[in-house]
Amino acid sequence: MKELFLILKRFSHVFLFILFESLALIILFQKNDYHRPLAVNALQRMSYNYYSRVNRLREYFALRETNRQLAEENARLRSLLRSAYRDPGKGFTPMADSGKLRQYEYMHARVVSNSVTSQYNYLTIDKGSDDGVAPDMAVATDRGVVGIVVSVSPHFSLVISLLNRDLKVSGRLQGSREPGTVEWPGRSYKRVVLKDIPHDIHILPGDTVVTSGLSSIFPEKLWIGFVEKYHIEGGSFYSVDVLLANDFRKLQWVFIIRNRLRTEQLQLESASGR
Amino acid sequence: MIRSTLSYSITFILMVLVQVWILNNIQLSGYINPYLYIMFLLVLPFEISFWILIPAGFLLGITIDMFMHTPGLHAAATVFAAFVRPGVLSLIAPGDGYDSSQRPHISTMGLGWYLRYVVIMVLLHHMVLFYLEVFRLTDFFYTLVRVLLSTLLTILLILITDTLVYRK
Repeated sequence: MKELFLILKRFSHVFLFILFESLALIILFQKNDYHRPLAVNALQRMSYNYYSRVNRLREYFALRETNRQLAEENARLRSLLRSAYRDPGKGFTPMADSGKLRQYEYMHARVVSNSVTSQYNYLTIDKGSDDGVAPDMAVATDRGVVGIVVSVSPHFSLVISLLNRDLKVSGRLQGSREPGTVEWPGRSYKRVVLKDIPHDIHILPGDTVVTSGLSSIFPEKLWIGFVEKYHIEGGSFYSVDVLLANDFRKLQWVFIIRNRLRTEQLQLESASGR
Repeated sequence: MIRSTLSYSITFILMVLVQVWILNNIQLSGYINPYLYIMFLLVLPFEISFWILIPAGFLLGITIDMFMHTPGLHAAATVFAAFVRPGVLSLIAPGDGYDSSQRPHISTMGLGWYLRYVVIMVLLHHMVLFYLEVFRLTDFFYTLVRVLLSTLLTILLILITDTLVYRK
């Protein structure tokens, strides 16, 4: 018994190490689905406040780029206005738009913290549950997909970035109907991979890769990026390298997209046991 | 005793703040990121006991994790770094051992000794951190390049910090 204590004493530092190291590894490898809500504690709130402040400074340096993007977007939106269309002529009144059910709602938000260097990147945006944001809403810019909201506090939301190896998004080539999986291999912040595209599909470098609309999160045909190159993987499937449409290092403004029919769709799908 | 505890606590806070407020916002090419915060473990006194060192390492890592949304990742790397520190110190001990009144800085121990100390410690910490994060060996060499570049940058920052802050 005494010897046992001596051994314990002699190797106490090793035991201490094992204790703390396993504690860290358990926290790390807890099989966490990325939806696990992160406790928004005092420290995190402190970091959010700080990030908002730093971001104000960073925004200042990006004014020129932001202006250009806004101008571009204004132009695009103007071109959608009724006044941009020819008068349909007399005789028929144009069909009222409110006759269509609007499925997606957009809200803008500012990125207050962002990273691209980790393997599991997240962004924080300055809209939260008080603004109506909830987990599983899509986040995008006018250039394309950014990520999905995973947890919310009253004034901020945490968004899992497309540059996160845990996130997979259903995507396809514009002009084809075959969906594949878009994921980040964890290397460059400029590229993702589109997998599981059948090899009988005709691909050209430069083709646009868009969301497939096969989930209840992203609307259809939202840009993801452009085909850079592709090769056959695992027999009959293409693995396509996609150059991202967004520059993730410079994200400033994003939209949050709410699918108003999501609950209905999920209820139906779960009711029929899918 | 109380004074030094207080001053180390302030060092801890400053290291974490510099890391999450400044360094994590500098994204050099998207591949490398310096982790200066590990310097907190390096500046602790030579004779510090394991019973403080390892929990301090854990606390440091888990605090960084909280800011970076990487629960457990940095903690695992810092606990490892804390565990190997006494071994590294005895490996590179000068012939007459360490004087308990001295502190591990360039000004007291000389650049040659300090460089060896920092290179070994930072490299070990970054290895654990990056490989644990990637958690696969397929990109072994790619990750190794990231480790080496980040290590280089971290060492440079530590040398600058030590020269500026811990002058005689």
